Amino acid sequence: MFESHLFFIAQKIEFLTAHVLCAKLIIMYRLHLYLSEELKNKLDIKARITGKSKAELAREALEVGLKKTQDIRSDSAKSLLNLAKMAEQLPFDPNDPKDLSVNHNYYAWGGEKDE
Amino acid sequence: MNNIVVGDADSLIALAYADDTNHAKAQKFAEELLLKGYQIIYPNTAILEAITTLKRALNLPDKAHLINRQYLQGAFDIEYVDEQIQQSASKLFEEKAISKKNTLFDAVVVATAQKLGSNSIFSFDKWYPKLGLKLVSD
Repeated sequence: MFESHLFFIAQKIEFLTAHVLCAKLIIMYRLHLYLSEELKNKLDIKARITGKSKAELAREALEVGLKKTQDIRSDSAKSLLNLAKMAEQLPFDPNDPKDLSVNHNYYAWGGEKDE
Repeated sequence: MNNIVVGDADSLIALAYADDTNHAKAQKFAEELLLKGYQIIYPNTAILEAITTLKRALNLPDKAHLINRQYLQGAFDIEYVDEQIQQSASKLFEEKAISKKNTLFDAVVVATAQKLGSNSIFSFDKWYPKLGLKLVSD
């Protein structure tokens, strides 16, 4: 009886030590935010399916989402410039119309030209 | 307003077709947007429209496939048209697309800009300023 009581206390100390260590290693900040009903429902379902907490899922989504946003912003205009450079390497027929961008609707579907 | 610019099919065509009268201008605008840190997002319909026009209507398959390959490689930032965008575009098409030159695809560009909180369009189409949007060329 006494031994099992000691074992229980030891387990409790181990548990508390682990939590103190965690608290020392990772500093978490509290954030309040409003979610749409649709997003809240999606989060609830995901939490049920994965068994993860909603907070954990939100942290994971923020990590991925923020990284993606940063990557996108640095590349979109650059990709278009690369497209233009690659296009200049392609052969072209001098008889092809030069007003494609302005009159693409006319060439695609007919009607009247813009200019 | 944010630093997002929404692109229309004509700017993609101008960039992908080096002999287009707007090719150099489109490049210049893209350079300026790059320097200013703008993100250029195309509705997926604009990409489909550009590819279809170049290949089917103009028989320029190499230019069409250039855009398509770039799409496959993830080069473009894309907003895929959802119910919200199509609903807004359809309403706009009924109310504002008076000329037959104004297509539902153009209305999708406007609806995409509204959804993304942008008022800047990468296009040469003069319809957009009439709706209160700004062309990057202005």
